[in-house]
Amino acid sequence: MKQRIARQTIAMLVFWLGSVAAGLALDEVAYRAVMDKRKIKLDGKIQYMLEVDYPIDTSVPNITPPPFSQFTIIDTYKETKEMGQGQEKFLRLQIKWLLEPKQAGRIPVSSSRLAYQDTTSNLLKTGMTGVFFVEVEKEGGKPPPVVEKKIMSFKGRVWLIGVIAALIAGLAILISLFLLRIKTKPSPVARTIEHEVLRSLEQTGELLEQEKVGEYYALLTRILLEYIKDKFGLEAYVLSTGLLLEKLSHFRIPKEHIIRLEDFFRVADKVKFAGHIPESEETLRLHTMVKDFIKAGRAVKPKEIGGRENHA
Amino acid sequence: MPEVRELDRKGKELSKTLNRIMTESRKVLVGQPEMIRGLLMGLLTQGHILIEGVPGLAKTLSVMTLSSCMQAKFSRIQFTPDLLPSDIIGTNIYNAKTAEFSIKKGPIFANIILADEINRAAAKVQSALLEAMQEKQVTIGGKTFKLDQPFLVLATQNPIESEGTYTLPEAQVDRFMFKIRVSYPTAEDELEIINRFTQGENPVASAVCKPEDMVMAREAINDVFIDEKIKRYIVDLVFATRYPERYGLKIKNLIQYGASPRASLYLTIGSKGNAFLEGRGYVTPDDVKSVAYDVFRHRILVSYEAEAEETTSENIIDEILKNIKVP
Repeated sequence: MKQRIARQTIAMLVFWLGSVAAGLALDEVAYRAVMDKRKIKLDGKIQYMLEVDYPIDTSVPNITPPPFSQFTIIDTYKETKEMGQGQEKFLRLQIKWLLEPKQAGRIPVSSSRLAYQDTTSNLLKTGMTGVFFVEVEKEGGKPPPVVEKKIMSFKGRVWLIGVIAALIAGLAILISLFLLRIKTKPSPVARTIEHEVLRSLEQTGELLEQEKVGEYYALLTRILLEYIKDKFGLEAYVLSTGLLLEKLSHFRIPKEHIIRLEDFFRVADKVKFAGHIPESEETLRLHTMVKDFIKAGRAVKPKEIGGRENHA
Repeated sequence: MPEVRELDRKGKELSKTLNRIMTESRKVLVGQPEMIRGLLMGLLTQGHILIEGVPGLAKTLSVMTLSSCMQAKFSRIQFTPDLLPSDIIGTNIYNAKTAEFSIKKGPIFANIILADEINRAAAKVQSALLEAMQEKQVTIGGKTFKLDQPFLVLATQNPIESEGTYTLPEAQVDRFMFKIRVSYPTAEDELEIINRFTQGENPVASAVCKPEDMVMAREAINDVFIDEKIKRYIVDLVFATRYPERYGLKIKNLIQYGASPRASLYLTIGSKGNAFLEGRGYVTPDDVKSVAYDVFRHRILVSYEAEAEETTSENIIDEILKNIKVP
């Protein structure tokens, strides 16, 4: 049984292969595509030719040429000729396209397709030609012209060197001055707070001239408390005098200034809360004390304040 | 406007006596400077003091020493559940021989009274004492007797034993000017206590003044000047315990009840006393701050929320003092 199946399969295979071979051998239509050049200049022209041989008694095969999208079709030529003799006569169709490349580079030309009715097998057959590649070179091909560069000559322009040198020297002086200023510039806290407070203190003198002692002490206290608040970050307005002085003693301020400050606050409290009017000598002495305290505050660096505050 | 210099002079002179008392009492007492200062303030301002502290912290010894220093009459009443009002005030006693009633004065007739563990006696006994404190006089058998001057009651409370006690109602507690909290001594003080009290003879304080000196000092305190700005500051502090939100304080949820008007009165009187002790004839904000804790401690009732957060009335006072602007 198995042998029988094998024999039948071989017979069928042999028949199929024979049919194919016969089909190929007896193909009624022959075709080819030819390009006259494979390498052209961008401004050059190239010809694509499709040649189809087919029997006289059959219809013209259906042809689909390549799209030639990267070419400009300059001209198309079509010709059909009778070829051969006797019973071997056939028709030869030649279609030529004269093309001009649109761009440089390696441009592909795709295949042409054919479809026709085979009279022997009565089958619809199709075919296609090969694909071509055309090397399109850029136009011309000569090397670009060498432009001779003009080299600037300082010959006879000594003044220009002088100007440049002066500019460089000026710039160097400006930079050094700027750097020097940064180095010698006092810290903003030291410059602004103490400077401003001392200036404010000078202005309190007007109240004394007008004999407004109470207002004078109130203003002096306010200036001082504001300074302590800004400089040392203490809640000067909220803390009592004793606590404020205790907290101030944690900073690097000479002790005598703290003691003098206590003296000032004591008198100021007396003026504020007991209507006391101190002697003018005492007022002057206290004014100087306050000034000295603020001047002593210059020595306290902002960094120290940050660190000390944790303990205060 | 007072003559500040004169007040200062008077203050300095009288405060010398008080300073002598303090120096003398230090011969016997070790540490506890707040308690000694508080007792003196009470004597000077006619305010009574509630002392809270565990047993053995020299509460009785402090009062006895103070009495010795000023030659004052001292009484100690141990409050127990079976104590009667007559045991404190006194009573009418029938004399069988003469067939007459005679008045037997109670221990309240003294300059300094130590009411030990006041919360152990029944409410009627507490009430009898507190009425005497307020009125400064007692009535026995229809006869009214003025109490001796100076008159100072120091009541103690033990914070750790609450079984079988009658907690003082808030209204009664409010009658005490200060509430002083006595804590354990430091290690150095404890060492000094050992050295001082294990040598055989215990140190004794000498008399440095008389009760009349204290009465004179009291009169001088009345003359201590307090400015309107300070009074306003006191009002702000008291109002901050009642309406903290008005002062930008976010502690309203921690306070059940704020301080009563008695707080304003005692802050003012206490500040004057403090200024006097400092030898000044006028009050500064520092004086107010120094008595604020003792005045407010028992007058600010903390809420349940505060208790849950373990926030005490001291924490609230801290917050108020930090945030209310000093004039």
